[in-house]
Amino acid sequence: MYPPYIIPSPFTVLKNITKYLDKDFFIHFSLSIYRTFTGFFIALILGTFLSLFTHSSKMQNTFLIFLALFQVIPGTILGIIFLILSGIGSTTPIVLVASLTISTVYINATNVLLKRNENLEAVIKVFDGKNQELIRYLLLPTLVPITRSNLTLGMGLGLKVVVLGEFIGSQDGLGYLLNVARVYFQMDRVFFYLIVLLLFMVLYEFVINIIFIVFFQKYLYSE
Amino acid sequence: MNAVEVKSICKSFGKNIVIKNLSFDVKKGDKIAIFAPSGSGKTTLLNILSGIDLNFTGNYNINLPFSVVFQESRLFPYMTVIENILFGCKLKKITITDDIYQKIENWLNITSLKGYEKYYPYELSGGMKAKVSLIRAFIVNPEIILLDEPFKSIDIYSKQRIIEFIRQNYPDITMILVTHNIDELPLIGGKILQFSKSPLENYNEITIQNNMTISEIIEKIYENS
Repeated sequence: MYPPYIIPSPFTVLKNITKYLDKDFFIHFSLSIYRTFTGFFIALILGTFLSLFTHSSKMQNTFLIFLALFQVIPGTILGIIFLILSGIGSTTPIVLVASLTISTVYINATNVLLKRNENLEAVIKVFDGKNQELIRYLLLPTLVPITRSNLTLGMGLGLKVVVLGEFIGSQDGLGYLLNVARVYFQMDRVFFYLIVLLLFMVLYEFVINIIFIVFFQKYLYSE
Repeated sequence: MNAVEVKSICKSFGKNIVIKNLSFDVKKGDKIAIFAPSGSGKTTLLNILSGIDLNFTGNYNINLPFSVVFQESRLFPYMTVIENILFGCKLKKITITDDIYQKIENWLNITSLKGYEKYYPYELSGGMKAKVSLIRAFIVNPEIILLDEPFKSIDIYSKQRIIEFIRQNYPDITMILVTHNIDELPLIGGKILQFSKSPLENYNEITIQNNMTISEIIEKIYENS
């Protein structure tokens, strides 16, 4: 239907895989992963703690509205704003990921905390538990299942945002490579980079699954 | 000395008054049962006394360290049986000594939970969970225990064994048992505050003599109502 230089067959991409796997590729790929992890984990930690803080101080409704509004702003516009503010480099994609995923993390965590188990909260109070015990024994364990899904959704979103950020304003990273391949019309490379992204997500999901099975399975048990 | 003093407590949910001007005292070491029909506000009263429900008028004093057994087992799903049992000690910062382990051992034997220490709540039956919740409340060595229908899902034989164990091992404990089960009353002994309808307001006080049978208690309840 389309000539191979527009849409190359998967076989062509696989056949040339060694051609794309040079030292430069690994440097660019590691940079993208570093930016995604940094930005996403900043969002995960800040979003979760902000959620715990606003829950304890009963300010969650104000923050929910504020962060929901933040979600409306298109990523590309934010990307350009951060590019103007921090210039070309790692800061723009990292800040972009953090700012675009924090609202998802916060909203998910806050909704879970609003539906926390009040019966168990009463048990903690009856045994003289204070706020820190409430957080440790009830709120943090309550957040485990949603953190699991945040790790999947947020990482997927984060990776897309980093590639977008690098595409807009960076001279390195997978987004930059995609942009170069697009400019030179190297569609086989474009497809290869997309396959790499997909494979990375599969591997990431596998590792996260193992971590949850080994360390956090008990927090997923029902009463 | 009064262990518990309840003075003119009133509580309502919207227009529905569940507790109206209720007052009573419980002396140290007394065992009382609050006997009232379902839905009359017994659990609400216990929630107030245990400090969970702060939205009421009137006042009360609990003058000694207390513990609560809730109607539902309320176990932490990610903790094993032994972790749930020790949870109260952990929060109350009680050092876990050999003596406490010995007490747990005795409780586990009496409740037939020996061998289930490493089980999670989802692996236990309703009755087993209720027993764990009972042990958790008693193991912190309270001077007052508030029990909200704690034997609801426990079979009669286990119930009798557990009550006997409590009588022997905690003879001086002050106990407030909330129940609508008539067969639990002779097991507790002491006094019954009998409420015949909602809201909890006026009550008949019935003293249970030792060795009274259920039918004698029922007779006394009907005499007074």
